[in-house]
Amino acid sequence: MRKFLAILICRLATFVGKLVGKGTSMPGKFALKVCPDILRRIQKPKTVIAVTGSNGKTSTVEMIANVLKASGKTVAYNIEGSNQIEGVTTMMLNSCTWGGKMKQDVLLIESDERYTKFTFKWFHPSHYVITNLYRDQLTRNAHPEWVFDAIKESIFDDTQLILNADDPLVALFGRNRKNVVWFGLDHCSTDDETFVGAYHDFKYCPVCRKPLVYDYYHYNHVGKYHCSACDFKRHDTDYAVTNIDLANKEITLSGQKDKIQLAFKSIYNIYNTLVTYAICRLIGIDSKTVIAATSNYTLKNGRYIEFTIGKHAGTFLIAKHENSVAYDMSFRYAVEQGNPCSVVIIVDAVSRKYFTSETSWLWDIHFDWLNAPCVQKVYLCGKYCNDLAMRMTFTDVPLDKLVVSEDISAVCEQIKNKGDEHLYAVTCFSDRMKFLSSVNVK
Amino acid sequence: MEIKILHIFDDLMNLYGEYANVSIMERYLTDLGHKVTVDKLSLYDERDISGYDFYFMGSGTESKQKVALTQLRKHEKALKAACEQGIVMLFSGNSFELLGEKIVDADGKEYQGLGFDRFVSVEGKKRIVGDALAVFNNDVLVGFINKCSKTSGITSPLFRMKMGFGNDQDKGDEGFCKNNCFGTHLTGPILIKNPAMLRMLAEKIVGKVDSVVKYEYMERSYQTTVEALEKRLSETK
Repeated sequence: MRKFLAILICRLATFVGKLVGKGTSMPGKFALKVCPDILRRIQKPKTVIAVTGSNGKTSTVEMIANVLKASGKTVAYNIEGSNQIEGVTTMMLNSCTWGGKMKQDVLLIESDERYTKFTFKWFHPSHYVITNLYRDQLTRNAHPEWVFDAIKESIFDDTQLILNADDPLVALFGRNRKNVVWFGLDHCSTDDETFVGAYHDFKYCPVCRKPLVYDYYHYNHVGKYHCSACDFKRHDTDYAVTNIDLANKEITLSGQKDKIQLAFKSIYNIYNTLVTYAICRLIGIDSKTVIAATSNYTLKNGRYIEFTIGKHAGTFLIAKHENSVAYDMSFRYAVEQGNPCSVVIIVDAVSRKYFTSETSWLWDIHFDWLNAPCVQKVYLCGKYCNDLAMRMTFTDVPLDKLVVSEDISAVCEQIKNKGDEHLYAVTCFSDRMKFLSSVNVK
Repeated sequence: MEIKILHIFDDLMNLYGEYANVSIMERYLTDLGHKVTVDKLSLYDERDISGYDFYFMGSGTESKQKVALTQLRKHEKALKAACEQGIVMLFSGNSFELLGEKIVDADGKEYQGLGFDRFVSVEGKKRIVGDALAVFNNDVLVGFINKCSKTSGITSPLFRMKMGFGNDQDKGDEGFCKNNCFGTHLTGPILIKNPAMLRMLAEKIVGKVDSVVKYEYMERSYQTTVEALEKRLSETK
């Protein structure tokens, strides 16, 4: 009875929520009040895939769902922003029958890394992907090891872990555990031989704290490593990208030498594609279907948007505030295209969900990516433009390339009337519309 | 003057962009006309660290903090002597807890500190985070607290918190000072966020600063944050 009531309340609240344009977590919250163990009571599909980690959750879930659908399977999955227990509850109760049975072939869950333990207290995923762990939203996440401890509480023996072998902190989840599938990148043309970044969290081994040695880096602390003192080292992979051909936008995957075309040649997209390939092959989808559905796949979640302003063509790249690696990757992508360009960086509201005026994370971003001949101007905008500018004075980017202004629309006006170089706009969800409302989105 | 700065364990204790405290001190003293050199003390380096004019150490994860404690003990004599001589030192975040009598972790395990003073830090499973406003002399300082510990037994705190959690209570006393050795739970590039604190520490290193060396972006970003936090404070009262 309580189960039925919880489902009813969730659906009513969802209906009302849609009318007033409210979010997707409130219905689940009400349902959990009525029936706290509702997630245990719901009859779930045999295949329950969970994805957590600092970056790549939403994109990976979207890509996996796309392949599942292409293979003819039915899938229930949550959308971005509803990845805590309340949002997951809303999704599950709205996807099941009135009797509480989920008839889909697969339940696919994006799970917030710090709160995943609350969701998986009630049921365990059959497959659990952990993408990566690094400094992200430290104002509420404390630090990556704190998040590691939180995720650890959500892992049980009956779950198949699918781990990123290239990330030493993620790899720790699989230490001394048998039931693990490993994915990673082989030595690729895009690798760095030395560390590139403003900070290095893994100069020392996370197990014994003696020096950790890297053979190469894919980005930040993600790469091939081994401890100089103990037996901790990058694990051999079950699923790997064996070659990256950036010119032809193509990656080669291990096993049957499968090749996948990339719509977007960033290292994130390569990892997301690899995880999608690994998980889909693991649950028995044939490689032909996976390749067809992932090749040239363009994400629909608004993280990559093309626009025009004046004579400029532009690319909007989402980078989460308080997440230095996301900024690093966006800058790296912008300069690697090699065309003359200018870069717009906006920090106006640090978060859309909570108050903070904390800007320490700017010092973790490797702004020196922008010290490239192809970069003509760097526009620093928003309330925290002076924090950005102060940070830039500690880089090798020539200061005469900087334009500093709080007023985002004034900067857009200035850009509109001058030049025709490509523009890269980099900012967070919280500040996205402040820019996109001033340009023509394609 | 020739000024020598030592950044202690920059390769381990640098969680919230704290390296920038050393960068700005180097720039400021250089712009004031001094000849500045910066050395870094790596975690397993056991050389004698006497003879510096400014020592800095930043914060780390709880586990890295304990590793730092083991290695810092090898420099205990030099650091204590420097403190007694009135050499300027700044320990930010949980690095300053290393100077106390002991640290107790969330499982109850005790770690003996360096014993600069008799304070005790007890870690818990709950994170204490939040923007901070601190009153320091006649200035208001801005920053962020990000810790899981409560520190008690400090008789000579550094600030009074106007917003945010202090050593062991909300809006309580924060930090520690002994001679010219300063500790604060404020994290990040606190000397960039707070021009007044940069100047105060610089004056303790080189004497009275009459110069008008100022950094416009830094002054303006301080104003932005002070206004944002004061507004927040008045809204949440």
